[in-house]
Amino acid sequence: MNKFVVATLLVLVFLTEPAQAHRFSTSFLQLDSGQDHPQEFDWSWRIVEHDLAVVAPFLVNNQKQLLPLAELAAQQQSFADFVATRVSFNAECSLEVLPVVQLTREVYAGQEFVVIHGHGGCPLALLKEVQVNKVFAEIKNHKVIIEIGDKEKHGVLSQAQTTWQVE
Amino acid sequence: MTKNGLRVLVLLVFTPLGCGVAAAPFSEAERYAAYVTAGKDETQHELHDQAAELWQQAKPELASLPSKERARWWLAHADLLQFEHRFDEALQAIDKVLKEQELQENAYLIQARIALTRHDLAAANTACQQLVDHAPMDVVATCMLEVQGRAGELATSYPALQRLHTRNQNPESALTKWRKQILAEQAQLLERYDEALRWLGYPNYQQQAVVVQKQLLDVLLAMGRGNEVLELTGKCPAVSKLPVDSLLVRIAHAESLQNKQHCWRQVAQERMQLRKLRADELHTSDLAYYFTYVQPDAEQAVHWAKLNSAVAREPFDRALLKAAQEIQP
Repeated sequence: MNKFVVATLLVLVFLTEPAQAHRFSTSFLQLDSGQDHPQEFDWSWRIVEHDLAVVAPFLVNNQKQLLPLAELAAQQQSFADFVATRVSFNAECSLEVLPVVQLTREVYAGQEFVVIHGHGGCPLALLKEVQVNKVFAEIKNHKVIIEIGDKEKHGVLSQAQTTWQVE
Repeated sequence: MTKNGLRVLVLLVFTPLGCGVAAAPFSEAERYAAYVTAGKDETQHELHDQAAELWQQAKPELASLPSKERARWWLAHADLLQFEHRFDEALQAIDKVLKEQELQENAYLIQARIALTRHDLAAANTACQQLVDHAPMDVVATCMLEVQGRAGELATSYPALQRLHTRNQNPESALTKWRKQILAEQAQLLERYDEALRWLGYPNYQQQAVVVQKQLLDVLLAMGRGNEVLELTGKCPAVSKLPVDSLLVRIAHAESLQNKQHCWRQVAQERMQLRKLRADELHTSDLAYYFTYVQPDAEQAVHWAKLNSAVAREPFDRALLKAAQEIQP
């Protein structure tokens, strides 16, 4: 096969494949009032395992799968730093990351998600702003769906809009 | 193109070694083009990130490059833009290629592709005609017969394409594969479904490109052969092995016709819910399909089908909008 043939192949093949199979990536940030601790709110961030491998490679093994619990525990400081640099709330509501062992797994829409849990240091009613940083540059076409309570309020964060003002 | 084919393609482009492959090393522009092409495969989309890095590095230097190399960069960039449905920007990139008076065959073919996607038949025809001075006649004829078919002149274009195919049917040729895809589309539009299946290589399914798989499923569904769709696609998949959404909604449609299980519909419902929450304005045909055929909802179906038609107006897109508008609320 000569160079010309390769070039022709490139063009004709892509012409037979118009835009159709785009990959996009979505994570979910769920915010709920604390059941037995109303002075704080609970948050959980559901992110696809292979996306976690991109943004926090120290949490996965060579197969891009979440490390076993024992190994995760050793990554607690890096994990806390990672979350603190990705998610933030308005100043009154400090972000608290629970121990790394709080990572859990879920399957939704045919994908395996890892769920990270934490607290916000204020009652949910005082939450005014949610900001997600860096992730949109790290994962292409990523959006974060934010949901408060049982979908009472929801917002979408993306590269174009990294801060959500809670109405 | 199959996934294996794409990997082979990348190897061919990245490995300028013996075995009859060109001896000269490949240029940066060709490397960029290879990333763009291979990155279209769903499993290798990360190659588009690498392509983007190459583009950012190269863009300030383009003016200092030889004309042909500059044209290669712009051509591959146009391809990436059209893949992302950024058609106006893609056409501007094509103008840059044509200004160099290089690679006109590929440039006009992309122009025609974009015009066909927008159902701008006059522009598509012009682009095909421009090919006359730059491409083999078989390429020009295939291009023009595709446009003719889109204009509804299938009674003329389909037999002409068949004659062309009889004359030149090297199965490995990219031109042959492209022409067979057009033949399948025209056979489908003529409701000559058995012939469409033949052009699509039925029952070979797993090795086909996604675009061909989608067409195959559409033909089988049009024939009422939903059971064969489920046979081809297998059991509801293990986690993280889901087909792309365009295939998923069709399989879920087949499942709803068979009414044997709910697995595909359940996953499709979750995927579509996720897509709705994202509220992307591009690539909405899967949502329109879902709310037209799988979980009929007149309002949702028309909403997403109209958004889709604002970007893509190929025969499938127009048929989808019509079907959505015919759903009884």
